[in-house]
Amino acid sequence: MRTRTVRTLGFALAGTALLAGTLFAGTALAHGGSLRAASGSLSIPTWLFLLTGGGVVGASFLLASFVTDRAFIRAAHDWRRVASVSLDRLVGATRIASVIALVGVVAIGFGGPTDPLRNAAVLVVWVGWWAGYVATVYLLGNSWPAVNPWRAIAEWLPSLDREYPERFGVWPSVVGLLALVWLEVVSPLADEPGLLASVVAGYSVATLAGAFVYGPDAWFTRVDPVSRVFRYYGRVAPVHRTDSGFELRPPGAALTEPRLADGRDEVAFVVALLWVTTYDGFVGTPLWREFALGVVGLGVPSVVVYPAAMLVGFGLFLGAYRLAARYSRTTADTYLTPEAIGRRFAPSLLPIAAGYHLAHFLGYFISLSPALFAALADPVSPPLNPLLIVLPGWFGSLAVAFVLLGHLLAVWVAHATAYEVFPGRLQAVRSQYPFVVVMVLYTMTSLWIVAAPDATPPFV
Amino acid sequence: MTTDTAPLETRVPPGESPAECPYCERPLESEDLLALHKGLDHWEDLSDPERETFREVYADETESLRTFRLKILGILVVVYFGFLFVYSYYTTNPFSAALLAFAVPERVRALR
Repeated sequence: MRTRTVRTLGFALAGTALLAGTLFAGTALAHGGSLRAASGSLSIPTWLFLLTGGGVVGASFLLASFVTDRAFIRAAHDWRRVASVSLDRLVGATRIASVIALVGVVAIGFGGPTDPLRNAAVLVVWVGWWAGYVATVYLLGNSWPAVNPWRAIAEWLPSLDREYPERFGVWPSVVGLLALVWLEVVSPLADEPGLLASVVAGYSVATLAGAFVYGPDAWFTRVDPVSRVFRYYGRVAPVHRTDSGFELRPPGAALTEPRLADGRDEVAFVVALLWVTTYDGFVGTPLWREFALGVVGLGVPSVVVYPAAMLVGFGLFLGAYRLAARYSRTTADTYLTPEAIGRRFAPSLLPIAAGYHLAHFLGYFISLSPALFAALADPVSPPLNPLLIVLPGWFGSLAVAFVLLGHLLAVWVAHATAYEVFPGRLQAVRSQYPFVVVMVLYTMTSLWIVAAPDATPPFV
Repeated sequence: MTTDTAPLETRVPPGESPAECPYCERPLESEDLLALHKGLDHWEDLSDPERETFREVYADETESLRTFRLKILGILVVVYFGFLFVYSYYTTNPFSAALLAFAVPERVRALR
């Protein structure tokens, strides 16, 4: 359970700070804790804090609707700089390096120190990869295809190249994403290096087997949830790989293109990506703790509580989004089907997920990075008390700003997309009413989670 | 709306007579929207009178957008002052709303 680890890390950070004679002023912050620390101390009532967040998003929609110059919107989104470079050799090298890293993670996970703060496998996976590397994907560009060690191995190996069953679409990746996050929430994946190594090894076996049967292309573009998460996050970023090299575009500009989500399953994946970040935070709130304890007290087996909540929440998120798409058909007075509208606007949700990820993990990454580098320098016997950076107090408000920035970019992307889709400019603005309501509710939910005091999730 | 857009699925409710685009067969909800759609997506194929119609409809639309913008401005003002009043009731400094997002201040943290 990462939240618990993080709490441990938080105490560890506080302890280190005291021992070190408090190098920097401030409280120990890590993971979601940073946000909670910031917002939990506001002098205004929580409802006003939430309302303000919602108000910022709503007002930004109103401001965006002032921009009605088609030429301007199109120019802003079509702006690009192209560079033709071939990186094939470099890709060969990064792939070899990443395969070595994968083997190293499994080896150190099984054989390295058991203290998670000293174990290079735990630090590489959570701090280096899931916090740091993921952030580079949506801030810079999707380098995962060049790094993905499983894809490298799968392409070196032969493949049966069976036809991938079209009727499955990308649903397996939706299920895979929900399952991975569920596993991360209910098991001590960040506490026990051995368990982490087993999960990485198991994931490798499943991935390589799948790629062997259906071929790497079909597997990594349709099924593998990790590659797909990176592909979607990468669309938010300014740098994109093209056939001849790279292109630079404003952040989020690529999200207005129609090709990203072309089916109900793709929409479900985008919504799942958004939901899992919320779920991860939600199980750390007192509301969830009380609810779970109460439900289990009524006789519901504790093993079903987490997966059930995962599915119900996902259903609610997806339902809200589909409902918005249906109402959008009415408010815009259009003949487009709700499905077509839903597909076209789904990518605008991605900056929200990216903003939330950054808010969650930037502080976590910074405070634990010295431990990461120390462990990398000497994975077999890292220093006994790794140095940790104690973040200053204002860092929590930076996290709130990231959540809001993600939403603002989302509002803008949706606005520009509406201008692409609808011939009437008023019609385009009207099509956004239901989506803005959903986005405001979503902001308020995220901020509520962020503002709730930390609670230990029960039964994990 | 760019030309590389995949055809957008449409469904016309029974009993309505849509204005259909002669170039891509997309049903549009009114003649005005059809004129706009043709001008935006099929500019190259249009005749001069059709282009003229597009310009007129676009100018009319700009006119109605002006009214719309005024309404939006009104709502923004109401939202702004609404928040200002609520904040002045709950805090000593109503402008702390702005600080909330960008620099949760020491003043606020100290209350912990």
